[in-house]
Amino acid sequence: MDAENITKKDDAGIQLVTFRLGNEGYGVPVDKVKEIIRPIDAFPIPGMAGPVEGVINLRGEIIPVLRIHAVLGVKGGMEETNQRKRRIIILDTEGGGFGFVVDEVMDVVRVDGESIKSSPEVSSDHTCDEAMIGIVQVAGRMIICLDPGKLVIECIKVKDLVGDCVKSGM
Amino acid sequence: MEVSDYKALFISEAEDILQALEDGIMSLEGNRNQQPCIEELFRHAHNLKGMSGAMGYDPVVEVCHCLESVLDRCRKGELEITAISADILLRTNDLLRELVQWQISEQEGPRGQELLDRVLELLLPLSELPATGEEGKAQDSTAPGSESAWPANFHSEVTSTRVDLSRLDFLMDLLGELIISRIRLGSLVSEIGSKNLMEELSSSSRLISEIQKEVMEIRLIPVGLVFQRFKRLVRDVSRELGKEVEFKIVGEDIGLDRTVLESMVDPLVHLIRNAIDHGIEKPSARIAAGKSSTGRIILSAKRERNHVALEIADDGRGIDFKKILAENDSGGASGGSPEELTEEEICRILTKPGFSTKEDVSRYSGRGIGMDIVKKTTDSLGGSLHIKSGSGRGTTITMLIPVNLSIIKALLFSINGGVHVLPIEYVQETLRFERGVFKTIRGREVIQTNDGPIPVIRVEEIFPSPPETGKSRFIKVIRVKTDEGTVALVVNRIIGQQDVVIKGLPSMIRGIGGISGATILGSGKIAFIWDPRVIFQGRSTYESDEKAVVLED
Repeated sequence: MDAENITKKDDAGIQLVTFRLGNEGYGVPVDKVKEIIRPIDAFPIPGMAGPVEGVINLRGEIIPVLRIHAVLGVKGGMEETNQRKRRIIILDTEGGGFGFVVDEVMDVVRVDGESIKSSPEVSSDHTCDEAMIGIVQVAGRMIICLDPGKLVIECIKVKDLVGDCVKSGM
Repeated sequence: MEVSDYKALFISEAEDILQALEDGIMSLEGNRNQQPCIEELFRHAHNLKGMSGAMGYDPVVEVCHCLESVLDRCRKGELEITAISADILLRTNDLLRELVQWQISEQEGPRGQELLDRVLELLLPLSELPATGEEGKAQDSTAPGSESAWPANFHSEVTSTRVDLSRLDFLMDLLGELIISRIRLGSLVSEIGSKNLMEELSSSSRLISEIQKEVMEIRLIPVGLVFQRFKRLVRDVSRELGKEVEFKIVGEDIGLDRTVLESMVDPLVHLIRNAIDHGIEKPSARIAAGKSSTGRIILSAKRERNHVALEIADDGRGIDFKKILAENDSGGASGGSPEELTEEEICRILTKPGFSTKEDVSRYSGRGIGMDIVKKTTDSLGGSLHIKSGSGRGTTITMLIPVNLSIIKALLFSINGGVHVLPIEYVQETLRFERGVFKTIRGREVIQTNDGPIPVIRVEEIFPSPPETGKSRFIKVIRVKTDEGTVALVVNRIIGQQDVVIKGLPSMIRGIGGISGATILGSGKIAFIWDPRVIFQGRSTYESDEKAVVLED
């Protein structure tokens, strides 16, 4: 699996980088993916709980790393014993760059924009529904498409909540 | 030199001249001795004419020529500069500026002629043209290559140069890398332990520090450069609103990082407009309130350690707290009585997006945008906003902005395995105590120092984190001092003092209380820069307890 060399084709449709979190398949648009790196330890941010696990030093740039499993409410994954396939996907959005650890990078696929169906109402405590573009079937597998830009916004919202808690707790 | 080089030179010089003209016209007003001012204006107009002639910008030449004639009449005493003709001169200058920009952009179309017509319409009645023979000659001499067209100071020695800001930024980035590399080299050298190497390294370290200081100084520009622009703003806005305002500038020489200063322009414009529109009353109302009819606005800059305080103070009607509360209530938030509002609360309400107490929107303010921008800008620069106001006594708004954003001196220490950074200005001293020396005052841990007991702070009180679990016999403490007070911060290890290059935090993690930024250490690790002021937020004042007697055991 060499996801480091992702190239975008000119054909119509959306190209997705697909990855696995626990038992669920996810995808992000390839043009938002800056790079994919082997996992490195994130430096925890003092006083910060919530969606951001810490920051990593990516060639002199400070990049936050999300607890993506927790943010999206995915069960399992991070507890897996086999961590050989684990990677950090770094995304570039208008709200800034960020990354998250995935259990496995699967593939780069092209999907027809129309084949993305809106996601069903799943009862969930999580606030990140906004960040979901929809669901698409790829080779018999369900891929949940994420909007990285919206994901940032959702996480900033969550961060504010955490920030308030920290302050009031002092 | 290419033609484009000449053009770049023209653009930058023309900008300077136009600004100098504006300043000069402004200083004419209320100045008894007008003669030197007029001489200077005349010289500026003449310079611009010469330059424009060399570039073939004929409409600009024509306007400058006309302006020269008007100034010449003033010079000869045929024409007196009254407030009205200063108005005309200012408008001329505006149109001239537009005309120059139009020329520079090399656009086609009727705009240039239109501008020219408008400005000549203003000037011709004053200048009583047509041109005399002498002036005709002056115009001839502006032909390209003609030596007399050059400004008189053309041959004087060049002692300064203009540098593109992006190149300074690049230099700063390189310097940051150099400093990180020096620190890395330092740790390698101390591993090897060679004395010669160490000496050589320390001398190169000194050189790097020198360069750093120089580069930082180069990046600083005096705030006066920006402050001067506001004279015109105050004049125009106060005239339009029918208010009399005396505008004073203090601390023009204070230096501030270029990028910082530039981003402060919009907030300052907003605050000055606010001061004139909301703050200063109409002359009649001022007299009724027992004040002089002319309001005062003071724009000042003051250096306070690593910060610069930019302050706008007016002696107007002050902020109407009742109105603020009413407005705030209608926004759905809960209120209290005006007397109960703290400075922080006022600040929070005023900087809420969309907040405005102005019933009618004027051209200058009252749209409810602005104060939140002011707050956002100061926040994003790592500064703070303070508002003081008394009903009838005026309003003072202070923005505390760091002088340099890039490199700071700091003390590095570790807590629970993580490296942390505290700007050196907050560090008073580092101390070492044996375990068990802490006393308590009403349950609060303190340590005894020569200046009396000071409260002990542990990291878990600032950030939710596991308690510090050092097992060594000694406890290391950093004595942290801010304007709000002094505390003893317990740490695992004090690493030492060094320069750190501040890296901005990604937006996702910006605004965490207590963290002002991050830095990358020589090892590649990320360390967080603390803002110790957060220690004192929400903490009951300790001052009263400090005098209490410590029981000796």
